[in-house]
Amino acid sequence: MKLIDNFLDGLHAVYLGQLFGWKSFLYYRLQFIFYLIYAAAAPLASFLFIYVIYHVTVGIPGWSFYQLLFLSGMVGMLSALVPYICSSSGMVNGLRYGYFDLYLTRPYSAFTALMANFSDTTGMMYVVDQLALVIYAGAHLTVTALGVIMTAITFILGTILVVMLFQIIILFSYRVLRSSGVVNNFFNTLTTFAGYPLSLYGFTGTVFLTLVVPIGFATYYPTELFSGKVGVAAFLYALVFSAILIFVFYKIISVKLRGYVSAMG
Amino acid sequence: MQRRDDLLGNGYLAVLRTTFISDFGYRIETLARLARRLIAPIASVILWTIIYAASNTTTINGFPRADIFIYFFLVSAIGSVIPNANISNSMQYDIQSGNVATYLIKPFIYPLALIAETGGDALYEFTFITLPIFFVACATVGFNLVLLRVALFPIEILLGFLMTSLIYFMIGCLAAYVINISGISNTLLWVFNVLGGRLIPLTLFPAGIASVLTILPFASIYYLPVATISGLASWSYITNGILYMLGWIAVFFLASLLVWRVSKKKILAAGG
Repeated sequence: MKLIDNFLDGLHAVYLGQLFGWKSFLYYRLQFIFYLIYAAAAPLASFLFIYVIYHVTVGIPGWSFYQLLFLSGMVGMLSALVPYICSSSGMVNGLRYGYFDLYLTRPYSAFTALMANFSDTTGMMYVVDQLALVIYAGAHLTVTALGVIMTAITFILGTILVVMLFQIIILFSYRVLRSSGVVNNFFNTLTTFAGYPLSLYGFTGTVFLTLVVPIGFATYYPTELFSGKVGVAAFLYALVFSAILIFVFYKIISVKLRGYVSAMG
Repeated sequence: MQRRDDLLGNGYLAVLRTTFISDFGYRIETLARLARRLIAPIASVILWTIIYAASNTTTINGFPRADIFIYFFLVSAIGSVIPNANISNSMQYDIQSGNVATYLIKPFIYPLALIAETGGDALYEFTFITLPIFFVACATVGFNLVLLRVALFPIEILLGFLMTSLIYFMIGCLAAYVINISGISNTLLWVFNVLGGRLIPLTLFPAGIASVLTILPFASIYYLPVATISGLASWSYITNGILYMLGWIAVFFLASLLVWRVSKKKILAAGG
């Protein structure tokens, strides 16, 4: 019972943290609208890029235009969601200047504090526009209700995994460098590779981007599930591996947070 | 006399040198950027290699399969120098914080000081990211280097730097009106990436679009320097490209003067 209470308190804390960010952002309504328009540049660029590929060539074997567009939208959503939930510069500054102390006195876990208080609200604009691309591409694919549900669950689990991995890298970077400078370079490289089907990188590349840096769970596998390339068995494998990795990452984050030195450093 | 010396350039060189030296403080970040720019093009190379193989051809729209590797690595290399988005970021910060007031009372022309400041960053990036990737690409692929093309490569990068500096300067001026311009700045970056040849070599675009893109300022950002040094571009294409670029620089320079003259009146010393 206490476990459930703690979990709900944590969710509430995350909700309040995000709500604060949203209210601050929505206060500038004109800026909000402009951001929504600017953010459309990224999915439009993806659309044009994939359109040119399929216009002048036969494209990627085994992948249709809309499947690749769907994958691109998933990667775009992930690229925006991760910094939205967890801003690398905000988190490192919080740790470096000791703001994090404030949150450790609150009745929820340090991990929840990280999720609740170091987000970049403007990232959500990019998520909205990328979601539009995903819906557009998805509408041109044949899909079942089960496929949509499996895709959504795998994407959510994959996003949790990538956020946790991102936090581990930020904590590592903070510990070693006291800076977030390397984190975004790492993440951008990762999303560049995830922008194309993992099968292009052969067996080793696929395993690496699935089990070592599990970005495939948030992008490639949901796309495969949505387009019916794989079925329920693959979904169950994804669930099991995600659960194991979430547990492992949670433990790593908890251990790394023990090294946090209060009052700057 | 001192003020005249500064206006003639000593002060700007000092700003450029200071930025260059202060960038040395972030060596690990530089290594991380270098690693990203070396690793990320591999994804594009794999993608296009597979597309060429699937299409069962060695040339698509006149772009040879053999040049994929060198193209994407060199694009990645020069992407650390241009486009110069730092200029609008600096202006946004200066205008938001009110720091711009301190610049305006110094013996500097603020726009030139900005170009010198971001030029220091660009020079640092060129030295420690562009050149190493260039040498790695040369050593790996071993393409034929023609002396004149090699000489034109940094000149085209410099012209691209100047042109994008002027574009981003005009966007930076908007900060006097809308305060936050990071959205516009990011949008423009996407436009440059797609229409400038970073994601797709311009010759791979459908013929009609490619010929329009060649005239627009975007083409000279990534495509022209890379096509020049790798031998993809003919001499007439290079000559026209440089002339277009000089023309666009003149246009953007005049537009920047006008925009700066108008927006300067809206800047608040106390920030905003």
